[in-house]
Amino acid sequence: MASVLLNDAEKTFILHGVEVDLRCDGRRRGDYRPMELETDVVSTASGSARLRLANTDILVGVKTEIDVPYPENPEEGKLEFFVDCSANATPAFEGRGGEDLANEISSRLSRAYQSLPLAPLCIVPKQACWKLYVDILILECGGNFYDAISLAVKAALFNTRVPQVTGSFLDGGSVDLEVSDDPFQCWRLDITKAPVLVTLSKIGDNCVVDPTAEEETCSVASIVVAVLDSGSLTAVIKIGEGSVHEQTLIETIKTAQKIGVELNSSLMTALNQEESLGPKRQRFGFLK
Amino acid sequence: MKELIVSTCEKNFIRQAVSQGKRLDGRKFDDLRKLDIKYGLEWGSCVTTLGSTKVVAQVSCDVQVPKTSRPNEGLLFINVELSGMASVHFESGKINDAEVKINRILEKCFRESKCIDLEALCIVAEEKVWNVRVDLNILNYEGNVVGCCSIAALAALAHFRHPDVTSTGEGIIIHSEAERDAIPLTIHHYPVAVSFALFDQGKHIIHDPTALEEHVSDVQLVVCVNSYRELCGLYLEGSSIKTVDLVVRCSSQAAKIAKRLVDYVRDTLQEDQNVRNSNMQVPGLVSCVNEDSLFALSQERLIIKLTDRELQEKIKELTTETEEKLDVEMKDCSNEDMKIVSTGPSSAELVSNLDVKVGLGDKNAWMVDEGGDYSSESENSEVELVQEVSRHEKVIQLELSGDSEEEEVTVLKPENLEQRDLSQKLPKKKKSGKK
Amino acid sequence: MDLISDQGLRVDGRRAGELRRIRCKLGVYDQPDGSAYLEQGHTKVLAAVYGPHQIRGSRTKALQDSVVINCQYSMATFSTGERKKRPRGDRRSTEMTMLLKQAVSAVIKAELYPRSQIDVFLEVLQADGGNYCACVNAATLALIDAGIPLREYVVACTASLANGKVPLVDISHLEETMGGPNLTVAALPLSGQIAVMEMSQRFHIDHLEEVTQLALQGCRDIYKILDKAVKEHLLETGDFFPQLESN
Repeated sequence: MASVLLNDAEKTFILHGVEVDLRCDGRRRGDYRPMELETDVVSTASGSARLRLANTDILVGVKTEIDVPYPENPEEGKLEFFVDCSANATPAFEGRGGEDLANEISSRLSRAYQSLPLAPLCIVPKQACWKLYVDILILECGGNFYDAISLAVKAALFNTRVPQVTGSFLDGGSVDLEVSDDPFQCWRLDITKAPVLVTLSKIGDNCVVDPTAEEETCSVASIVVAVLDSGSLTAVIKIGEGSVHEQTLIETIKTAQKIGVELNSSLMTALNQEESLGPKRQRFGFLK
Repeated sequence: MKELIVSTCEKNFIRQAVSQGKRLDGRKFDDLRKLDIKYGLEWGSCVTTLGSTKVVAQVSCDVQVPKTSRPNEGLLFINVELSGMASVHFESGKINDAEVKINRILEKCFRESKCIDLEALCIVAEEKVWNVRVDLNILNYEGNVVGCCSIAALAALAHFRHPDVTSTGEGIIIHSEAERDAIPLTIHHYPVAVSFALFDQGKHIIHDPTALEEHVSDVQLVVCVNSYRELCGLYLEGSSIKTVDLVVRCSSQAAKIAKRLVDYVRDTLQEDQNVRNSNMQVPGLVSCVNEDSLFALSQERLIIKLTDRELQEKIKELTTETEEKLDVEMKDCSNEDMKIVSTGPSSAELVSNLDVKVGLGDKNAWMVDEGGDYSSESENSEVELVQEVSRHEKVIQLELSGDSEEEEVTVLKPENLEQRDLSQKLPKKKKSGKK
Repeated sequence: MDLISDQGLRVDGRRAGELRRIRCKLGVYDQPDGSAYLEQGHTKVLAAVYGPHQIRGSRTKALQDSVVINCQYSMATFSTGERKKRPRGDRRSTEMTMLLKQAVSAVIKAELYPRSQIDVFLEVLQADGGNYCACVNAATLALIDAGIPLREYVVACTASLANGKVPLVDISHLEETMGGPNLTVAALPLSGQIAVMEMSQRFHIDHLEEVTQLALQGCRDIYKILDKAVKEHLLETGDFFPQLESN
């Protein structure tokens, strides 16, 4: 993680604040920072979303492609994550500097997204299926990547329009597919089974939600929980070098579950609200 | 990549020379260096030499799946390698800027200008096409590498033939050279890259710059033109230029040069074709190696233009004495500050006439050894009277006269070794030649 | 498909000498010292400037009398029609990085910051032709936002030739790939100096002059738009330029 330099006095200050449920920006331990979400920002992608979580800015683009399914899952589509840490976020990400972080995030995301059913993406079993490339671009680092990325990914998948396959021909063993060019002839993915990641950072003896970059530097360990809107968990990941007590872990997971359910429902509300504005809504992108 | 380090005085010298209309190697501003193309035994291989810059090009092909966006076209891939062999300043392995620049210019010149008919390279649409690959290796980096590479690539592509192919129902059969003749590539037009170095806000335009001139120049401009006066690529690097018509002028000049170069390439191709047709032994690249100079990269000696009448006369005297050809050109001028002083056979020195000698150096105080011939001294005596050897007075004369390139060797005969007594003072043998 | 119809309209409805719509915003992010977002038609670009700061990495790169300018051009994988496998590191991106550095070096007053480094990072979010131009324009705005002294704006524009006779300005991706030549020029609009000139595909030398002049005119027009945006931004963010209100 792009770490911020803090001296001991600052760390102590943050630690003491968290103990009394008062964080540096005035939030409580369980409060999120204000978020801004907009979908359909990039027209070259089949679906896209941009999420701003205070200082963290994530842009996600989803592209669809026809591919051959894996032999062990012949009736399922494919989902691939790719994270790119842009140098705009911090000069340390120049060239291949952000590769470690990127690989880490993409592998954890794939683990968490195992709950998403890929069967609807299949076209012709064993021969053709849709492959979704979810490309995540980190534009600014303000702490709490996992939450922001998962929200943006869910929103982008909600926004994704997969073209309709209008015809398929068997041509000497191989399949020739006819895909519709009409932008209105497409179907949307069902993302009810897409998880949302909630990060809880352990600072001192308490856990805080949505840590800022400074708070992340103070915390020894974080627990990331992937929660579905029904409350079930798909993944629990522990990051950081510190250790967590068994009891703390169980409590943290329970807290994360509650938060996750809330987060999911607010996300869906926001997405539906945006959808209700209609296709002619004004798109701001980065201009606002 | 290590930077080519040029000293300030070199830079100033070149700039001044350019502003006076002169170049280091005596060429005029629009003279190209000697261009030579030699083809190898295989189709599509050639070595191109432009002055000291040397490039090896090899064209090869294989069958591949075409791009999904263009299922009926073959593929053309150009790859330029700039390794440590080319110049001390390049590190092999890491991609450096110069390599990327040359790669991109050549891609623009050949691939994006569509000089080769790619549709003719299609074997089975959407499944199999020929992938033509041009590999260029730069052997010596001495200026205008882009131009040399483009000529090499062009000659190699024009020379190349790919095997004939027939498609059966299920697959394709690639015929060998013995079964069926190989097919040459269809080339629509012949583009070449011409590079210029601009000095002084474009007042002086130099064609075919050497590496030093390129480095010192303000702006480097590469123009890719074909023989029909069509621009295929343009690349401007360095500080900004004032006006557009500079570029336009360079482009028209480039067009003329391009025509000449393309004609030359065509001529060499024709020659090679004649040789092959007449079933003579194809020389291949062997002729590149047998060069008459000892060092493959030997440079022609600098042509110094001296402008003093006195100097000329002195030089004439010296020339008649030693019968050696000095590369000195005479011109009329009057410069009485300098005079020539002869310091021995085939050596002379410019000495200032001025009273003020600060910074000009004093007359050479090295004395030339009177006894010039060392071959038979060891036979004369055991103990030699050693002359006073101080650093300033001892001059080892290198006689490189005539055809003999062998150094004069002192042969120690066995009789001399036995005669020497350890109690005696060891004679100081004058070693000849190497010092 | 004709690049220009009989009525003189291009594929997207513009005339031959018309630029695409340009929208921009300075100061998009807080973390970089200067940032800018620019949209030129459908091409969207984000620029971030860090610096001047101490040289990162090896200190040997430091120049005694001028600043080291470090650029990076990167394209998002979803920015092009066909997904790009790698955002940066391929030849085209490296070439763009070099050209960007050349353009930016032409305007930054390098002698003011010896032994320091200025980073300029470009991220293309959506590519629809004229990527390099949008990047150069965005970089200029980001540099102004960062407060780095510049000699002038550096503005870039593309031009092409349709059907072999009509010059077009500010070409889109479709027009680029349709086979017409593309000439990219990065110029300093007030002094008329050309910092970068690059061309691909082919056209006859006789047309070079008029196409270049059109590109330079495009640069001057873009400069007016950018300048206006900068002044508006200053009005919004700073209230110590009262004299600008009268402009």
